[in-house]
Amino acid sequence: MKWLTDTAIRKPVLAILGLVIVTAFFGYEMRYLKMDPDITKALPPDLPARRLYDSLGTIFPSKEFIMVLYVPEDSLFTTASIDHLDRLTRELEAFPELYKVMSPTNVKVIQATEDGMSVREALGSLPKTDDDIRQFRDRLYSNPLFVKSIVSNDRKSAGILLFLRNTADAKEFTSKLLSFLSTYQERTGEMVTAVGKPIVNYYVSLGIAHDMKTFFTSGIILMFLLLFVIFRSLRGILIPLVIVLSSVIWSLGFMALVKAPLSHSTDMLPILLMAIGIADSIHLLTHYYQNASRFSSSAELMRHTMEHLRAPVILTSVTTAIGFLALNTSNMDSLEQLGMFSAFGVMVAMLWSLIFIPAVLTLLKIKVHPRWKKERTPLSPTMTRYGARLVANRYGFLFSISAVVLVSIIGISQLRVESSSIDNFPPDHPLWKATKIVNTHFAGAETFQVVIEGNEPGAIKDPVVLARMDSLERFVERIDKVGSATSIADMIKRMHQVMNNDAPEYFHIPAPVETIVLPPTGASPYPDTVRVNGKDLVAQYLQLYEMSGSPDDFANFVDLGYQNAKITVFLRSDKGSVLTEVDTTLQRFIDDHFQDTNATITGMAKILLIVRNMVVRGQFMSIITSLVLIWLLTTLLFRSPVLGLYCTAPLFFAVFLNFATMGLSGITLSIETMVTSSLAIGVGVDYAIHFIHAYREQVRKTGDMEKAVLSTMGTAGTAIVFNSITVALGFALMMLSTFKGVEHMGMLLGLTMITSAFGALTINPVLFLILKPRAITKLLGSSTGNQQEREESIP
Amino acid sequence: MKTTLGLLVLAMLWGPVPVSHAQDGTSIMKKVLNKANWKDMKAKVTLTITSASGSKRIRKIDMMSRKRTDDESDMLMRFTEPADVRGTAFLIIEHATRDDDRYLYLPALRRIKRIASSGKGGNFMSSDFTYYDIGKPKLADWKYRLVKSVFVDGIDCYIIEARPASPELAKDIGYQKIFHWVDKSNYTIIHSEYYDRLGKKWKILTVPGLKKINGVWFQTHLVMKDIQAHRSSEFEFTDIKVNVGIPASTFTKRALSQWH
Repeated sequence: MKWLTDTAIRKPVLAILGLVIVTAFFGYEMRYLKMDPDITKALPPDLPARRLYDSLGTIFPSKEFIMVLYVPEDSLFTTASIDHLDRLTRELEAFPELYKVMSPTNVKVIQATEDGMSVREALGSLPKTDDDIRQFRDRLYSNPLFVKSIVSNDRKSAGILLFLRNTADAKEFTSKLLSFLSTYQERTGEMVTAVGKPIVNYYVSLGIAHDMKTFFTSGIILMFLLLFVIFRSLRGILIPLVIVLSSVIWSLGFMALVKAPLSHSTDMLPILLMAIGIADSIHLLTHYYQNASRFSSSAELMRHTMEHLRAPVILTSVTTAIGFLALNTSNMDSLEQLGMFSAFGVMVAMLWSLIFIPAVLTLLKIKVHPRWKKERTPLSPTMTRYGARLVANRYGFLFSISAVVLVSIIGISQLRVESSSIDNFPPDHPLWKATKIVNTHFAGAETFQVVIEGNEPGAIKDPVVLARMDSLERFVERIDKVGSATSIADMIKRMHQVMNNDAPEYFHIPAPVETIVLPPTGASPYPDTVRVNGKDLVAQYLQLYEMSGSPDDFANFVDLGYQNAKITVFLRSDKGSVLTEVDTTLQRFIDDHFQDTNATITGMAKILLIVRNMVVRGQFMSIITSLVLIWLLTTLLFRSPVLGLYCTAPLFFAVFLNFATMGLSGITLSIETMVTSSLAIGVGVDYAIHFIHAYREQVRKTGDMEKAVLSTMGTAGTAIVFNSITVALGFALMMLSTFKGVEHMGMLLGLTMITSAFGALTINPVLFLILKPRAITKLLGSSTGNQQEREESIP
Repeated sequence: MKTTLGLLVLAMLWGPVPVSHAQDGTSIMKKVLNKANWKDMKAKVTLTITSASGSKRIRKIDMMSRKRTDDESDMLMRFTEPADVRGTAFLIIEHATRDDDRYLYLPALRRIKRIASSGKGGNFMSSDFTYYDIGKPKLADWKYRLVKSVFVDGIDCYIIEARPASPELAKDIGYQKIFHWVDKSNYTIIHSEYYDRLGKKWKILTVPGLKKINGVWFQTHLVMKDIQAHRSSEFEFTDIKVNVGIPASTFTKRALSQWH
């Protein structure tokens, strides 16, 4: 790496030109960056649940739907409300992107008639009298498929289900729909709103875009202020800013180049890079100013600066990048991408620091700043006093730290795994209100799908299979948060009842051999009891419906050959604990009752559950991976496994405190909060490396372990404090996010920076003083050879 | 629902007419839609619907039809497969001035059911053919335009563009426009392309089977592909017999429940 900085100093213009060209290239590529808020994309495509979920789109015409809620002021069942609902429905039907709109005013109902059953429109013509209205209402509420799906159980609001064409652009349509709904609401003064996965995705996209903008502007403002406070010079402000912005441009451009989208994970990339990338340039510029008065040539000063700091800059960047790469164990595409591209960005920032800083500062005249007098800062005396306290009261500190760790264990025991996409939005978000209505008066906004795969065409028409599906639905409906469960079985039950004089005792799946009572005919005046084949009965009900209804009526329940069917379970919460309970209940029932029929759980809720479990489990793995990697790297660096352990000790402490804070403050383990620790480890280790590196030098210089603590605190200690506060402030900007998860993440990341810096400045010296490891004590004898040691540590 | 009965029969019987010169789109389509001369006919029909995932629904039907008056026809369809719907029978009695009568007989329940007419844009028996696609279109419902003449597989064809004449019709049937390839030699449609209201190509009709029986051209095999939903539906006709003298009593409710 030496040749790199040397070249930059020898040919500064060429070096800068090179950087500018590559930046222009990546900047141009950035235009192709895409956004993808879909969380299901985070899963590996070969996962069975994901594969089945993807294939749902080919077996059934729609995987998910949008539900538009119409909430009139008084009741749904007034002439005016029905008229308005009918108009709204028609206006929605006019959207060419929709292949089907299902509303109380346009649905078909199965009704008992004199000669059996009729499939007719529930509304027909607009009701005029109270009697008309009552009939319309009864037609809707007599059908179990409609209650809580298109009409609320409090009879006050209606749900209009929108099914999108496969060819339509969901995001574009959602934005069109939402603006239509808000104009409608302004025009009529009636409340209309929408829920559904495309809507959530849309708002997540908006949130991501908003966050990116907020993070970026506030990040630049914060960096500007910090740099101004530290350097009070134009070059001190501009050089780090250019470096950080370029590393963001390179990373985003690289993402666009390899077609990785901005997702709910990778959107954090710019703010992460801003917070982390600035550290190296601050280090280099500090050294530059501190030594400026001793040199007359810019090139000489830069050569000295780079000689002194090249190794630490490379090391801290590499450890940070490795910490990020540990996210690759998570198995989630979007997190792996976050890890990969932020590692890339950190390397870019390093490259810029090693090329751009020496090149620019060689071109510029040396500026001696009166503020910078030899390695002293206003904080130095305080830090030295802190060091003195540590030395005097090392056992007291050890005791306190142990006590904190013990309390942490209590906090950790309070940790809960819980997350909810809706809870992630701020409480005044429109999604909240809509979701609350759906979760109170309708069956719910979140769904599991159970796919039943028969062995042969027509398998679903088998009464045994249908009865099993029916019992699964009734079983899972007993769970409090399950709003309802529906399938073709419910349609069959309704048809069976309707075809038998609407008698309630026929509201069941026909038995394999069903007894029915035929009405008197011309030939015989008495009713006739006959036994018929249940499967034929079911098949002929379906045939009758096929002739009268439209194919779409069944399309989401069963496939064309009646071989595969789908049970939809509606949930009134998307909390992880509820999802887990329903998932377990469904699986238990399937294991007990579906031995000879293949039934698999999938759907958005299942995907969410898998994503969450994967992240939570995967993250423990990646925390351990990054700790081990960091230990190996620092072992190599210090040529001592023991010192490697010393480097990781503050990280253990920080991770412990992180989880304890979460447990005690009620922040749950979710995708965002789990990633925090992995990210923090790579950055946090820098403080321990800096400290141990400096401490060894001081031990060698002073030949006294206690004095070395004091002098290390005054120099490297001060830098560590500044650095950690800077980075923590950068992370804290994430608290401005739209999403609660990212907000927590920013807070926790900031906290972890402080605790890992504190750990480096406290745990390391206390343990050195108490345990006196050989890796340190062996330095006591030699007070020469500084230069050689530094060279060795370059990897 | 005048057009309902058009159903398969009219689709099959768009017969040949004499050629004249200097034609526009409307006059060409007039010739295409000209009825062939027939009294009654019977055939075996296989309706196959295939979904994107390859799932198939196959229905086998014995079909009979007759002209009751110049403008009114009757049709009986008796299902023979799959086994669980064997014996179900569908009777349509067309009326010029009011909705058609439609009845379905269900053997398991030993009961005849009247079925309400559905809209023109409704799919026929849950297939990709709408009642409109297989019915005989009213000339006045469409604005026709002769696009050009082309040779397709050695067949000299007109390409006719048809657009719904009214927005109501467009909404009902869901088409923005249709292109018909008309064989100049016999004025039969050999290929059609349907565009949805977004202007995207939606469905393609091909006619792999065309046969002259008793001097009448029959489309014996019709394939409608929904290229957006990746579904397709096929009608295949075999054992076609024309003017065999089917008794009027065949097309009655009473006859519905009697298995032949």
